[in-house]
Amino acid sequence: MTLQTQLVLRVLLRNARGEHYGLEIAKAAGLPTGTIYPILTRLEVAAWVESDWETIDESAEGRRKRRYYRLTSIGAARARDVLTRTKHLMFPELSEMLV
Amino acid sequence: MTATLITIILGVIGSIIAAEFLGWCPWLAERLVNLAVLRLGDTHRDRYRDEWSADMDVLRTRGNVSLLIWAIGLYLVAGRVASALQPTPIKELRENLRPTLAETTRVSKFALEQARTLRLASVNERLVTHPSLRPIMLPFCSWVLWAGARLDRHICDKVRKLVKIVDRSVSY
Repeated sequence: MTLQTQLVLRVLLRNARGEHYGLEIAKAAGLPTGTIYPILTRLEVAAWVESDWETIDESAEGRRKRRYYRLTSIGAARARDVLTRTKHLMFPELSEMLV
Repeated sequence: MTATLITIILGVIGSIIAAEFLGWCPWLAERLVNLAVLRLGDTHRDRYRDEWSADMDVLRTRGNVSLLIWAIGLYLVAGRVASALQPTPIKELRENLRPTLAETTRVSKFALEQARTLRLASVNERLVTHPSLRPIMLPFCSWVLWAGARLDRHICDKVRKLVKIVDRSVSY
């Protein structure tokens, strides 16, 4: 799994029940805005993430509906698992200290 | 004198071109988003056009050049989005296996329940039909039930492990 994907997962996990739109995730993850879409698409195809349209009245709000992404329950569990394993691989000394 | 005049003219022309370019940026960005959408499969175009247009509205407030840079980036990554959306053998396998795995777990649980019921029924039948053998049969039947339950747990663990391995191997 790429570092960018891990950053995206970290952002989504920070507020696992919350909903975020693409640009917001990119900004929070510190990634270029364009790179976020293939990552989100791959995660959605893998059923780690699900997305839905925002429910607003477009004319009242004066903007178009956004597509909101959130982690699925399976996705959240796997993301936690992956991020923990990666952390242990990248910082073995730190994980030993934490244990 | 001439040099000053040329500088002024170039400055004016430059600012006109810059203003013109900035004016064209939103239009160019929109064209690039449309081209990016065209790189996707028919079934996904509407969804991504709407999503990217909504994001474009957010970026419009940040300035025309940022909008254009985002649109260029989007056009470049659209191919990766398209390939992620395209069905591949592994994705199809994953989709086909998911219900199969769920079914395997359900069926194995059902089979184990059935086996337990049959075992209990058969033990009960023997105890009822041969009351004289009860003193000998009771420890034997208890052993059969205990061994059966152990076997059930063993099979259950194996199935659970197998399902987990397959599920992990076809996950992201």
